[in-house]
Amino acid sequence: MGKILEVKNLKKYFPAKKSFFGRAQEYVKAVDGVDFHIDYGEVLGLVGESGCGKSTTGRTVLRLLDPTEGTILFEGQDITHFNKKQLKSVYKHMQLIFQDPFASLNPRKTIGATLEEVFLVHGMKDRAERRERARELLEMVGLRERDMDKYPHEFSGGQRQRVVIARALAVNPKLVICDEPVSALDVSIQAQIINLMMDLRERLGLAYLFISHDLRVVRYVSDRVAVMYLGKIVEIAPVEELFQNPAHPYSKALLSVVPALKPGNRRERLVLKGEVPNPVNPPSGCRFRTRCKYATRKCSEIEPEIKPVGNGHFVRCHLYNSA
Amino acid sequence: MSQEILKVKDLGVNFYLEDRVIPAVDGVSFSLSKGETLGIVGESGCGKSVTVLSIMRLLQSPPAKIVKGEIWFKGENLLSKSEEEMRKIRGNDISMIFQEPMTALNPVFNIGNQMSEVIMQHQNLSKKDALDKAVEMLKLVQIPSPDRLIKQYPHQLSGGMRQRVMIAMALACNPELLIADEPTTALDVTVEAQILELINELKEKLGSAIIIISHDLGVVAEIADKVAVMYSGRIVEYADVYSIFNNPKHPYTRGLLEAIPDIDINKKQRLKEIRGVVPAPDEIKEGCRFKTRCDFAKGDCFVEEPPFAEVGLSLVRCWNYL
Repeated sequence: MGKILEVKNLKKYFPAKKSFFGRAQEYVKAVDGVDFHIDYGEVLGLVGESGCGKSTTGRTVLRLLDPTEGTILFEGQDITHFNKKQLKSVYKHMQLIFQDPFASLNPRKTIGATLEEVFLVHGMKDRAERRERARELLEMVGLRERDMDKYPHEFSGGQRQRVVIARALAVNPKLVICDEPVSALDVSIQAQIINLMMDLRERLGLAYLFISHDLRVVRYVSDRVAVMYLGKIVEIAPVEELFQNPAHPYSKALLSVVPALKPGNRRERLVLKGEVPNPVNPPSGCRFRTRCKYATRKCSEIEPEIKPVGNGHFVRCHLYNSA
Repeated sequence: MSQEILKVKDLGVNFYLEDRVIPAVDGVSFSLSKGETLGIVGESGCGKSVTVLSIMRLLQSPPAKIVKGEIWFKGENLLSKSEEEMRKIRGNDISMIFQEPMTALNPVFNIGNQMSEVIMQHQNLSKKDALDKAVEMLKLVQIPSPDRLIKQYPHQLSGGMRQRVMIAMALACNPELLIADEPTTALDVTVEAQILELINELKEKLGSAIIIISHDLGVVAEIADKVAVMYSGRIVEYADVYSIFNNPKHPYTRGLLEAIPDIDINKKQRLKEIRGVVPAPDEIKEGCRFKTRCDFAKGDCFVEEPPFAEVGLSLVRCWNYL
């Protein structure tokens, strides 16, 4: 299996404060040196709390945002500086699904028209053929032919997310970036959409970058998981390895606070003190040190590198660097 | 058990729209004793928020109208209170925490002003004493340097801090009943853990009764003593928290629990789905409201609505147990 996506030292800064002459003085370092790859057909989960940069990472990989620094290789091709026209060919194989299906559908277009538009943009001239393909897609995501002539507001949240998935699949993608795809849905509907996404993965050999704050869902769908904190990946490992053997103090705390579904058997929880620091001015050295109970002087002076600890497991923490 | 402080009996709330009437809550009953925590779970539109807003008498009318039932709080029927009397109860005897603390706090007053106003209203304290009380409450919810915080405005605080302020404000007058509507939904998991821990501690310290609404069953498992599962305007299962999670009875409760990918799940296995979609409350006219999505629906389920019956330690609304 080769790599479908490889991201090297990706950075995305947003200007935060401008000086009198309009030059940016301070930057929000939303993504600050991120490396990872995704294999063909693989699901990489990306977790972290709000503001850690996981969505920005997704959007920058898709080139919806221009990276400040770094390289994005898609199927071996460097797309970091592709122009709009070049990107169009990339989007035939890389698509995205957002959290809010209502905001990502045009309210004035029927579902059929929305899907047909995708085919038109990608050069399918014959109208009957477009319609036929749209019908096939709806079937694939569990909707019916008569839904073609409905408008987005006529659907429930779960059905709208099915439409969004259908639209993403219209171009035969190989990689789908999913940004909180089920977070806005009710529990009973969430399971339907997750099952659909997993079925489609099997049928079409899709790879997903699955961005979510819901650790239970991420554990279920992912092959590997990356944990982000303040713009950096602090740990990345195969899913069970990470969940059973978290190494980074932040991952340990994050995993321990997911409420269990059983009353009375509360696991020991590592409740973190304080809050995520401001990404304009991240702490020196290790970014997690202000909330870490193992922090030493070294942690405030030198930023740890991400190092392998065996079993495909990588950690950014001084505790593991000496080994 | 100990003193009962809240009793809701056969509550019904309709929403009167231009072309139709929506029975958002229909025949909901439960009770709560001192120091007890009730969790209400259910999906969007099941009537859980409408239920607690009725207790606070905060539903906007029209379109909403309480059409039947009684709400007894410490021996008095809240539904027969005047708006004036309710205002004295709200924030004092019963207070509420909302999901989005930013919209519940006034953006143009600093935290100290907002908190002392509540305290002055209800407890006849001077402004200075009220401010002292506010600082004391902020300490209680573990806010670092509360003296500084009371001079800050809501937009200067993080989500977790705002929610702490809301909790401090809600508890300022030692309410006997605290209602929390999705108090941690807008927060990150590590902050959620802090807030849940805080609510649990305060519960022991202050002995208030709590109603917590959540769509997250994990949150409810963590904090509730009793659980009511709502579906389409009705409570379909009502039991102590152990029975709900270890021995769920109603097909909907079982479905909800199985739909969540829990730690023990085998990844090869598909998640259990509850098929179909949540029906609008006025969609189902006869029979069990869950029948369109239920795998166990049979003859009776389509004809008559099941009664709320005792099954073991639980109250369940399902023909399969009768």
